[in-house]
Amino acid sequence: MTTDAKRRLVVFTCFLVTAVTMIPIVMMVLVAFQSDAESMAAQPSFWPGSWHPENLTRAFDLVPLGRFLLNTVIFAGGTTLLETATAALAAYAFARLEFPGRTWLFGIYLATLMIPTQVTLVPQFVLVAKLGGIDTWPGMILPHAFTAIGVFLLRQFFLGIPRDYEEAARLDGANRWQAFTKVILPLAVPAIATLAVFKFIGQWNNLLWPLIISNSDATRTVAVGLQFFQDTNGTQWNLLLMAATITTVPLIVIFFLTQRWFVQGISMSGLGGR
Amino acid sequence: MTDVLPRVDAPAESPATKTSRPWFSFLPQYLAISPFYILFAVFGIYPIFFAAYLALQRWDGIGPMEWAGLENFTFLLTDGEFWDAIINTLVIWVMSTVPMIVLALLVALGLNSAIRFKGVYRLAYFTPNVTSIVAMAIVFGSVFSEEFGIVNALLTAIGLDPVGWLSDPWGIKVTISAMIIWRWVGYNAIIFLAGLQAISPEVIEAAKIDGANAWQTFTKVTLPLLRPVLLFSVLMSAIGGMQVFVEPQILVGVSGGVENAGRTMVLYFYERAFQQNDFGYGAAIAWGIVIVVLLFALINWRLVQRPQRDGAAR
Repeated sequence: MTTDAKRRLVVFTCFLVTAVTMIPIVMMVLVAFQSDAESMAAQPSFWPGSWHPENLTRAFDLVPLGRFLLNTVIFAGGTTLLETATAALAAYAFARLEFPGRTWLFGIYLATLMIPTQVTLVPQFVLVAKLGGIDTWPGMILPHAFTAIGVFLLRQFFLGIPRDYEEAARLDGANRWQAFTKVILPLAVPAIATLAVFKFIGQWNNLLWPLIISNSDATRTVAVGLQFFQDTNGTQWNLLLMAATITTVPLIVIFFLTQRWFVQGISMSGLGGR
Repeated sequence: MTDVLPRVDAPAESPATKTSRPWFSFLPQYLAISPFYILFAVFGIYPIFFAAYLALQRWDGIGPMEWAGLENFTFLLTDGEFWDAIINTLVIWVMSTVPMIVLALLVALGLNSAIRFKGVYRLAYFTPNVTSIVAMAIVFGSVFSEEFGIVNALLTAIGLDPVGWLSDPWGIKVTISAMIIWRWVGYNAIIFLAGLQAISPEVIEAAKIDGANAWQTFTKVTLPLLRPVLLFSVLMSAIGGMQVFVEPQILVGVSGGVENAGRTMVLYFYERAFQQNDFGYGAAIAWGIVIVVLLFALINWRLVQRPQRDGAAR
C-alpha cells in the first residue's frame, strides 16, 4: 500500500469513528425539533419534516425544567466550589507545611481512596437523614464537597512548583497566606481548573445521590428530573429529547471553553469524570 | 494515579525547631487542612465504619435496628441474584472494554499520524464523555428501540430481521455495552495518544531499519512501550465497569429488564437498599462489591503486568 493510500485510510477511519460518535448527539438535537406525530411515527425519520422550535417552551411547560436546571447549577456549582477550596488548602498544607501528624493524616486518606463510593452510600444517607438533611442543600452538597483524589493531584502539582518562588515572595515580606494566594494559586490555575471542570461535569451527571436525597422539586436535579419527565410522558420523544439537549448543552459549552486544560489534565493525570 | 507513594520532601525546617515548637504554633497548618478533614471524617471515614456495623444489622431504615450477626453475609454468599449480578457486570465489562480498547488504539494511531483537523477530531471524540449520561441513555433507548429505533431501521433496510434490543437478555447487554463504548472510546484514545507521543521516533525508525514491517513494528515495539498506558486504561475501566449503574437503570429499569439481564452489582445494591429499604443487606452487598472490585483490579493488574515482566527478564 502506498503512503498516500495509507494516509487516506487513516483519515477515513478517523472520519468514520467521528461520524458514528456524533450520530446519537445529532439525532438527539434533530428529533427534539420534530413534531409530536413525526417523533412518534413507526417509520422514524432523521431530518425533521417540519421544524418546531416551540418544543423548547413546551418542554419547560411540561415539567419544571427551569427549576431542575437551577438546582443542578446549585448542586454541581456548590460541590465544585467547596471541593476545590478545601482541596487546595489541604493540598498546600501537605505539600509545603511541616506539622506533627502530617504523614499519618495523609496516609489515612490515601488508604480510603480504594473504598468504592457505594459502601458509604447507605451510611451517608442515614447520616444525612438523621441530621435532617433530606431534600436540603447542605444535605445534597456537603457529603460531596471533599475529594481525596483532588487533594492528591493538587499536592503533586504544588510539589512540582519550585520552592524558590515562594521564598522570594517571603523575602519580600509576604506571609504564608499571601505566598499561597499570590504565588502558588495563580501558577496552579490549569490544575485547579481541570479538577473543577471534572467535578462539575461529574456532579452534573450524578444520578445516584440526588435520586436518594432529593424528593421534591426544591432540590431535584436535571439528571433525576429527566426520568421523571420520561415517566409522565414516556412516548413524547421530541419533548424528552429537547429536555435532554438542554441538559447536555451547558456541559458541551464548558468543555469547549476549557478543553485545552481538560485534555492536558487527562493526559497529565488520567483523572476521569467517573 | 501511577505515582501513589508520596514523594519525599526536602525538610523545610531543621529538626531542632520542629521538636521544640508547641503544638498550637501549628494552628494555621491544622486550620488549612481542617475543612477537608472535617468533611472527610464525617462523610468519608465515619460511613465506612458505619457500613461495617450496618452490615451486621437487620434494618428497614425506619424501625429499630436488630442485631443479625453474620446473617446478611451468609445470605449474600447463597444469593443467586447477587451472583447473577456479578456475572452480568463482568460480561458487560468484557463486552464493552475489549472493543473499546481496540477502537481507541486505532483512533489514537490515526490521530498520531499526520492528519489534518486533529483538534476537531479530538473535540468530537471527547464530546460523548461530557454529555449528560441520563440524557444519552434516553437517546440510546430510542436508537435501540425495537419498533422505532434507528438500528432496527438500518437492519431492516439491508434485509435483516429487527432485533429486540431491549427485550432480549443479550440485546440488553449489547445495548449497555454499546453505550459504554461510545462514551469512553474518545477518553481512552486521548490517553493512548499521549502514550504514543511519548515514544521516541528513533525507536520506531530503528525497528524499520532492522527490517520490521508496519505490523511487526506495532506489535513488537509500539504495543510493549504502550503497556503502562494500557494497564492504566484497563484498570480504570475495571473500576468504572464494576460500578455501572446509570446506563441499565435508565435503559431497562431498576430490576435490569428481561431476565434481569441488565442487573449490575450496583443496580442490585440500589434495588435492595433503596427500593426495598433493606439497609443491612444493602450494606452487606456493598462490601461484597468492594471485594469483587479489589479482586478484579488485582487480577487485571497481574494479567496486564505479566508480559511486561517477562519482557524485562529477557
